[in-house]
Amino acid sequence: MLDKRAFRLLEVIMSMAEEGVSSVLDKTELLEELGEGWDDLALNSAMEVLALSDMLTILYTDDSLFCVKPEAKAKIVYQKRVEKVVMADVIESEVSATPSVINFKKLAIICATSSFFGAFVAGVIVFIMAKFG
Amino acid sequence: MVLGKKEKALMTVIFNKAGSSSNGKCIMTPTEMLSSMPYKVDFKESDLEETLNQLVLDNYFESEKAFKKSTNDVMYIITLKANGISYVRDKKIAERKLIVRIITTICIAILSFSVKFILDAIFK
Repeated sequence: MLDKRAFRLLEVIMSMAEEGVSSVLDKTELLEELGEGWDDLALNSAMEVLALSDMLTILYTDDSLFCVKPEAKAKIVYQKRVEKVVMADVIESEVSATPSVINFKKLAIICATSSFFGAFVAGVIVFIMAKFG
Repeated sequence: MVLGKKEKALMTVIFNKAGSSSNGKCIMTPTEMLSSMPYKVDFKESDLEETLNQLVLDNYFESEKAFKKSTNDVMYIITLKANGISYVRDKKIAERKLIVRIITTICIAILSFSVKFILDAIFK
């Protein structure tokens, strides 16, 4: 199971390299794409996680670059992840676009008013019956 | 294995780069390889792929082509194999053998010459 960091790195790699093609990636470029919270050590360890999960093969690495070959598994995982994110966005937008069917505040006011008037009418009937019955 | 002039030159360039790393691996661009070639070797860019393939077939190293998207460069990832790792050692042994052969040949020539003199002296 991949952690969030490994997934983030996989996303960046898949945007920079093609499946089955060996690609040379500069560490500085990768770190720029990854954004804040990433350093050389985090990058190396996330790359190792991806390699151990058979997502990619590290053909060569040194202080400044990585040469990796993304495997088919990486593409599948990446696509599923993208689809999942897209689906989540679609569901969220649909949910926010649909107006709420039950307005609980309105319902509470109606219930309170109706029960007050119901009790009042019942009281009036009971009063009339007691007086004239 | 007997290597040609171009193969020897390329193998020396590759060994100098990959042999210095701990895992026998290196990454090189064709330009790097060509610029490291000695001037006396007539090595063209078109010879590179073929010579690399021949060395791969001779089991000197493994070569993998990689692309650098940012610069659109082709790069070769080279991993030395047993023949490649012992390339310099084998070269030295071959040189030593050649020297021994030359010395032996000279000695035999001197011996034959002296035998001729001895025989001449005996049967005079």
